[in-house]
Amino acid sequence: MSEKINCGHCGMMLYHGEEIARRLYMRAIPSEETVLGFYGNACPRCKGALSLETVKVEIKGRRTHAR
Amino acid sequence: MATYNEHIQIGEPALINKGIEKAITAAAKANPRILAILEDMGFPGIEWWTTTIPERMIECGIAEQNGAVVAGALASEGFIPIINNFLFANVGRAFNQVRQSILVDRFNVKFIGREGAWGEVGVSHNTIEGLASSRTLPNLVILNPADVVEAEKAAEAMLQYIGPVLLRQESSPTPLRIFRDDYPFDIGKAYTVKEGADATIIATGYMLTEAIRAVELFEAQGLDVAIVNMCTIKPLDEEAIIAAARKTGAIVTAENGTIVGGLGDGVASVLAENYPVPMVKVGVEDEFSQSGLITPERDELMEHFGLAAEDLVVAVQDCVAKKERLRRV
Repeated sequence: MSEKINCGHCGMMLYHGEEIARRLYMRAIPSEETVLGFYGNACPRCKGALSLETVKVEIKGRRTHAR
Repeated sequence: MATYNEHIQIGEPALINKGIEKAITAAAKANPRILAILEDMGFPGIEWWTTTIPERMIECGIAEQNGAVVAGALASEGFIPIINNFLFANVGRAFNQVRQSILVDRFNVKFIGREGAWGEVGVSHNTIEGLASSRTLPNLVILNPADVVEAEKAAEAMLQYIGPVLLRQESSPTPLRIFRDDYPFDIGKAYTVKEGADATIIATGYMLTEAIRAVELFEAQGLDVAIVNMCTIKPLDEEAIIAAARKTGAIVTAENGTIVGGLGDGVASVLAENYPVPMVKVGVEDEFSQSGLITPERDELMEHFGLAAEDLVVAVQDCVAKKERLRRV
């Protein structure tokens, strides 16, 4: 599973990689909020405020019987 | 006469490393956390670095595995290390260290990796497998700019993005200047250079120059061919690929690297799962790169590997023929 987070204002890609919640143990990044925090909760390009309400989160992967 | 989209202004050939150098030097001036990791190689803007901020340059020698671990450790402390080298070395030779010490923890390390089928340094250094093998690595964003303008914008975007990024700097003939300065570069977004109806060329890196050189040849053949520039190799712009397939029903991919696992295979995978259409992959076949004669009169390597504009014309003809055969079935 992969995950992409884009700024909802200007579309800038803020994160691409493993689905954040996917690792069973020892997550490299605890949550989407952590990613937004890396940027100081403001998009470096458009300066728009970043929160879970203002970003587009896209998770891709094959459907399985468990999910 | 071909009509290009609004941000295109075809100019003279210009070296893409100038664009990378400009962006990285400007970013390093503004951000003291940006560091140069050297592996017995040069670095974009090295004269400025050595005279202005030599304390931010770390020479790891011809020990790329060590360079990767040093970079990962520095990134874990909030620095932004940039490792410049041949791609076979900074990612290829250090593949396991890059995976274990940078990507698993998604540390903010940037790679500038030189690679391509063209040049005079032969099979050892003109490698063609790095883009494809790097695509297998989770958490790594991969950019492969087509001209000097896109190279500058891609390098800027790489440093603005927080996470590991590989910027591939191609070993190729000097590409044309293609984009205007107001070209809206976005990581993860393809750009339609030219519309068309019969087939779409999805090109990355230097091959966009050959696609543009092929435009007049297409017109002479009565072919109306769209051209899409795919700078971001990971994550691929799946929407753009599917839209191109819907519109023209025939896709030719063009890359200066192996066709095994590269752009072509990425595009094929998207199409096979979403909107299958006939495809032809232009790139280096399943073989190693090699040295060749390059003179103003003749480019033996472009000819040998079939990467020239004329080869794209043959590929488009074959792809359109496949499309026509399917229509008749």
